[in-house]
Amino acid sequence: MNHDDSTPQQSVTERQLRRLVVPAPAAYDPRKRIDVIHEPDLDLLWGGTE
Amino acid sequence: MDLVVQSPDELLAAVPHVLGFKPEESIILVPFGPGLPITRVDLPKTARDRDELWDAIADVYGRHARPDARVGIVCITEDRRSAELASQHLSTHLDTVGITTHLRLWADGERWREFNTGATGLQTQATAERIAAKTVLTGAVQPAANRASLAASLVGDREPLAQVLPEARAAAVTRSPSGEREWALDRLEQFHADGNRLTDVDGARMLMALETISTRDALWEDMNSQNTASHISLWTDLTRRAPDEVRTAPASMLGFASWLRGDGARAWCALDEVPADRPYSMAAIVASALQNGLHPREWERHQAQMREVAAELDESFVPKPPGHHNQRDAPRAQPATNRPAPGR
Repeated sequence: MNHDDSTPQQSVTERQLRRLVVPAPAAYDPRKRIDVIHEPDLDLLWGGTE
Repeated sequence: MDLVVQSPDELLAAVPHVLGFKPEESIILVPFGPGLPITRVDLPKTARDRDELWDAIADVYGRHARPDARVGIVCITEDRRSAELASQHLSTHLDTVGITTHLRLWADGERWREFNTGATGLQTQATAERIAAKTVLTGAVQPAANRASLAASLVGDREPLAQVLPEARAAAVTRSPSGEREWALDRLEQFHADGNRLTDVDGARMLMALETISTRDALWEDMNSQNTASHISLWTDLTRRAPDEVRTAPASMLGFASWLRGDGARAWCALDEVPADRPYSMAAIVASALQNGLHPREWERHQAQMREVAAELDESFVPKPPGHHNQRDAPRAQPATNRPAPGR
């Protein structure tokens, strides 16, 4: 995808999300993307206890 | 569920199930308790790449670390030397933000080695099958063969919708945007209720409706932690079926819904379905959220605050509802150059 964030008009919802993140276009090289899995199912790994 | 992982072999067998795909040439951080995410990145092979990796994830781990936080570092590669260097580098930096590395595991598909203790062993098919069987019992979707397979699962037959799109476009011109917004919200509600795939005609109409920003936002704002599975199902289907000219919006919606569910890998794959010659600000912002490791709860917290503010205002000061402005968001055409390959 193209990560151009320069669309002149952002919608209200876009601006709300935009407030939460700092863009880092240089880091969008596919080889350097971060796959983050939030709230992973740790029960699958540890069965609910460590 | 009973304790599942009791050995490195079992951990290696379980990792694809929590990632959603089998990692290749990757370094993966697996938390030993709640609070931290699971993170996968391509294995860095140079000192510069290792520094850049830490720069990229330092904020995520600094932000989410709790006292006594522990992680395991798992490297999947035939390049054992790079695995040892990268895991040591990462371990040292994690320590600076209060996170202890409990193990540093390397595996090449046949054998494993734990760098901290020097213990070694074999990866066995029997263990992989046993872990897979346990996940089947929980109803979990089985992992894709690799990340490319996950991306390929978002590409379907796009011809049927391409056939009916001209008619849908012509019909859209004769309808009011507010009427189409109401139709789209009703159709979404129906999908939440029955989960039935949209017909080609409804699919094309939905894609046309999405081109009006206020309509897209109304559908976007319907997403919450309770209905992400339904949204992911809808937008996955439309991303698979949508021709290039109308795929930016459903792919971006799928990217956001996947992120909201915590699935960064699927979200990246969705954003890769945004045609390169159609830059789209929603996609760019979702990409920023992914690369920054933003936790979905930040969005929900922000939305809750916005609702509180709105509730405190006199009704006359409440912003006009979506659709007040009939703003169109047809993507800007731009030469298709420097298109990055789908993420791996």
